[in-house]
Parts: sequence; structure tokens; C-alpha cells
Amino acid sequence: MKTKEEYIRSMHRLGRLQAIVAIILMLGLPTIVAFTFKAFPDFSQVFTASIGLLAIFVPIAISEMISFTPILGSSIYLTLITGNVTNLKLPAVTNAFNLLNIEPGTEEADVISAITVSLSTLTTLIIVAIGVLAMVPLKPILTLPVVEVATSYMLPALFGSLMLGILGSNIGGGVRTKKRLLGAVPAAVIIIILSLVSPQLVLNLQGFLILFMLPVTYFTSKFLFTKGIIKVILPLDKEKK
Amino acid sequence: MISFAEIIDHYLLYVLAGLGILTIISFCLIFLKKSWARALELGYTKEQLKNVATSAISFSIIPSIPIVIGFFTLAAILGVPWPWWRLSVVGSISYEIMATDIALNTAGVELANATATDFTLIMFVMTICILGGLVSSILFAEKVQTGAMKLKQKDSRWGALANSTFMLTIMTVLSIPMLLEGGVSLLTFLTSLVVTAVLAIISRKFNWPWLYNFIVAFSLIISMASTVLWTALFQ
Repeated sequence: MKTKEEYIRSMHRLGRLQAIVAIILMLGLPTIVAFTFKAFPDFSQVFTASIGLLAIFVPIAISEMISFTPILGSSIYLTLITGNVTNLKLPAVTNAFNLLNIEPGTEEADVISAITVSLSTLTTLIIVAIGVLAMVPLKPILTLPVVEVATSYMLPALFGSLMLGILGSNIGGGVRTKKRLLGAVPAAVIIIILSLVSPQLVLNLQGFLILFMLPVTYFTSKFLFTKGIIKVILPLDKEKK
Repeated sequence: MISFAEIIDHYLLYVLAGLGILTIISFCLIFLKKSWARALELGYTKEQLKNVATSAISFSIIPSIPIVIGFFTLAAILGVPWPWWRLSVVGSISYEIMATDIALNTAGVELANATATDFTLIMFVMTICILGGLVSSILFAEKVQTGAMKLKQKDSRWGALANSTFMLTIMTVLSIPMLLEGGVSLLTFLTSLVVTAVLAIISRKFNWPWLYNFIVAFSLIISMASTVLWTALFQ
């Protein structure tokens, strides 16, 4: 049996390989089409059109990678290849952690996250394929105003359900905490103020805000933990009692 | 030269998109096989893993529907195969439309007058601008994860707490704007929270462990259906 380090390293190797192949595929498709039909766009036009989007999306994408990797582990590659992080992969993984009482940042978390992300991705690919194949009969149903309204509120529906697990004292692996949520108070206050000033700005910059709020929550939690205000109870403590 | 209308639904694009999607499916299956085998080595039972699998699949069905709706929107502009590929990989409907718009503006054409070259311009712009996360993950993801795992090894109490701050931060940043929006968004959030709590109690009280795997999926459906009521209330 591989050690924890060997397993994690092998999954990252696999993930990196898949990411490289995915990039080649993504760039290969337009290249083959452009070559076949002799319809190569002017390089300067590609550059001009891309520069603005790159300026917005590259920093957001890097912020998301840094913020989500500690939770998703080696499945970050597959997650970033197939997208839909905050609306699908992250909630699905959180749900799986709750089901099996998994502590984030462990090898168990990495393994369960990989199983969840793979199956979630396969499910989405199948649903989208059904949508493509059954476009004619499905389109009138899925574009009904009632369905459009319901799907536009999917994120509150998703996060409401997951919030219960986040608010609980159990952080997985049988580890319990007291007053852990105090660590999120400064970040919450900042987000509330920013949301009141400009809700649109908060929505547009969510990727950045997660990255900037991470050290705020991290160091507040560390301070409160050092001061003995936040307490962490390990499963071993209960056995000792 | 081939026209815009011909190129967007050309069979070559179907073949390439199909091959691309099959490759992504093979990635998922390889990842699943390796992690499943490791989970068994770590001592998880097949029953536990089946529960996780059932939950992951049932959970992912409803959130995938907006992607299909996004596909219908995009297919009306860019044909079937390219949007199918884009929405099967890293794309999202808002990003794809933004990229299409910017590419056409740069080329100085309207969609009605676009050429095959304008379509390949759109394809390149959409692809290039979303690669940042993937490239950075190749370079840094392993370092980020091993760094987070080392926290746990140094001090198990602080390590456990530190690792939980990542999810806490993400939920704080994503949830607060939904709650402050009030109205339908807030009521949907609360409905989902209450339904989850009620289903968890029912699952425990009646000793229905199977229900536990479907709690998030059920609360998602019920709370999304409740938006019809909340929308009517606020109109």
C-alpha cells in the first residue's frame, strides 16, 4: 500500500497530466477547425479581444485555485477542467464530507473529494448530453418562466442546505469545536459593508474576495484559538475522559 | 469559404467535440477508479462509498439543469457542437456570451454578418481567457495542498481548525450577499435550511439512513419549487 505522501503525489501527477491534455484539447479544437477551413483569425484580433478578459479572469482563476485546493485536494485539476466549482463541485464535496464525517485537509478528504468530483462531473456530462440529444422536446419545458425563476435561485437553495453543516460544531473526523464561527466575524462584517456599498461589485469580485478574506478568517481564528476563546475537542479527548 | 452558419454545425465540430467529451469522461473514470481503490485501502466499506456515490449523483442532477438551459441559449447563437463542448468543460453561460460579444466587437461585426473566421476568433478567445486556473493549478496546486496538510501535522488541534477556515470563508463570502439580497433569495435560502433540518430529523427519528444520502438533493428540489410561491408573494 502506498504511503499518504506517495498517494497524494501520484494523484497530483495524474491531475497535472490530465490538465495538460485538457489544455491541448481545448486549444486543439479551434486550431484544427481554423486549419481545416482556412479560417485562421488575425493574431492581433485574438490578442485585442482576449486581453481585457484575461485581465479579469486570470487573477480570479488563480484566487479560486488557491482557495479551493485545500478543500478539493488533488481533484482540483478535474474540477478546473470541467468548471462549475461553487455551484456544483464544492457543495457536492461538502455534502460528501458531512455524510462520512470527513475532516478537510486529510488524505481521506482527498480521496472522497476525488470520488465525488468524478461522479458529479460524469452526471453533469450525461445531463448535458441528454439536453443536447433531446433539445427539441426539452427546450420548451426548461425555458418555461417557472423553471427559469426556480433555476435562477439555485444558489440560495444550495447554500441554505449546506449551511446547517457549516454552522455545526462538528468539523469532520469527530473533531468538535466551540465558538469557531467567531473567527469568521471580521470577514462577515467586511462582506456586509461591501455588499451594502456595492452588491454588484461583491458579486463580480467573489473570487478575489474569497482570497482576501482567507487570511482574515485564518488569523482571527488563530488569535482566538491561542487566547483559548475558540476550543478544539479531538476524538481522543473524549476517550481520555 | 465556408459560411458562419455552415461552420457552427459542421460534422467536423461534432466529431471533435465528441472526442473531447469522451476524453474528459475517461479522465473521470481513471480518477474515480484510483480514488475508489484507495478509499477501500483506507478502510471505507463498499456500503459507505456507495452512499457517497448515490449522494454525489443525486445531488448533481438539479444543479446541472441550468447548464442545459445555458446550452439552449448558446446553441441559438453558436450552433450545437461548440457550446456542447464549452459547457462540458470549464465554460459558463455568462462567460461564453461575454467572450462572444467581445470577440465580435473586436472584429467589428454583428452576429448576422459574422464569417467563419469570426467564429474561430470566438473559439480562440473563449478558450484562451479561461485557462488561467488550469495553468496555475499545474504549477502550484500540489504545493498549496501539501502546505495545508502540513498545518495538520504540526499541531492537530490548530491544523483541524485551520483547515476548516477555508470552507468557512468561502461560505461567508458566497452566502452573505444572498442573505442581504432579501426577498425571494433569502426565503429560498431559509426554506432550504429548514427542509434540510426537518429531513435530517426524520431520517434519524424513523431510522431511515437511505434518506440521509438524498437530503441535499430533496431540499434543493423543494426549496427551488418554493421560489414559485415566494416570487408570487413579492410581485
